[in-house]
Amino acid sequence: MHPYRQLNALGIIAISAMLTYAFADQFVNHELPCPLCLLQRIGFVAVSIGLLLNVTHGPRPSHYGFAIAASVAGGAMALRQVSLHVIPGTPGYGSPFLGLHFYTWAFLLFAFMIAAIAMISSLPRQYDDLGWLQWRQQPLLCKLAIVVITIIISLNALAAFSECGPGTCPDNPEQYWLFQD
Amino acid sequence: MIALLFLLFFVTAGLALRGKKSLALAGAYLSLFLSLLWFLHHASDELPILL
Repeated sequence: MHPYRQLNALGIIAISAMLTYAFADQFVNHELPCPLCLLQRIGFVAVSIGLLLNVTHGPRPSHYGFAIAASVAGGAMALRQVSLHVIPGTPGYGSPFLGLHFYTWAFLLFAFMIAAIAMISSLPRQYDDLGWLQWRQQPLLCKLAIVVITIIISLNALAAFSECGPGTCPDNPEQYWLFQD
Repeated sequence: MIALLFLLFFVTAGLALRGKKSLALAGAYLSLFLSLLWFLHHASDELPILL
């Protein structure tokens, strides 16, 4: 039932898992994300909004188009941060994960998502599944994806506010704005 | 400001869940545009290690 909506829901859950890992790293290892790191999280959230529209209203080229545009934007943000640390002998920002820093992983994942979304959007049969589905009509996997991404976005909003406050984030944050001395 | 961007995407998700597709898509593009503007502001950041 609604297989392509469920495929998009899987994509949302995968993005949520990545954001949850980054979020956990922030609190477990006490590593404050830099502004560019937070903007990359926004890039992932933006991609998930494109996929969420596919879940709620059925897959449409306009939704996939937004997800690809968001992936390109997120990739540009990640690449900018990679370029800050690409000079030999320059330490990276934060702890590496499986040998690569988070921003390098982010760039690779955005590039992967551009390719994956472009390929999935070329499958024609999914566009027959039209119309908005109410909450009770959604498959279980879609409900799970909706709940998870909503929680992730709201937690990230709270964390970003506690770190940066209403203004500009410092380039190299060392303490939370909300809890500073 | 970054918290506000997350909040905008949260509202956009709410619009999608309420069935307001056109508003949600417009809100999503507006949020992405504002995120890119804020990225341009931060793109000139220089970490202390590079100074």
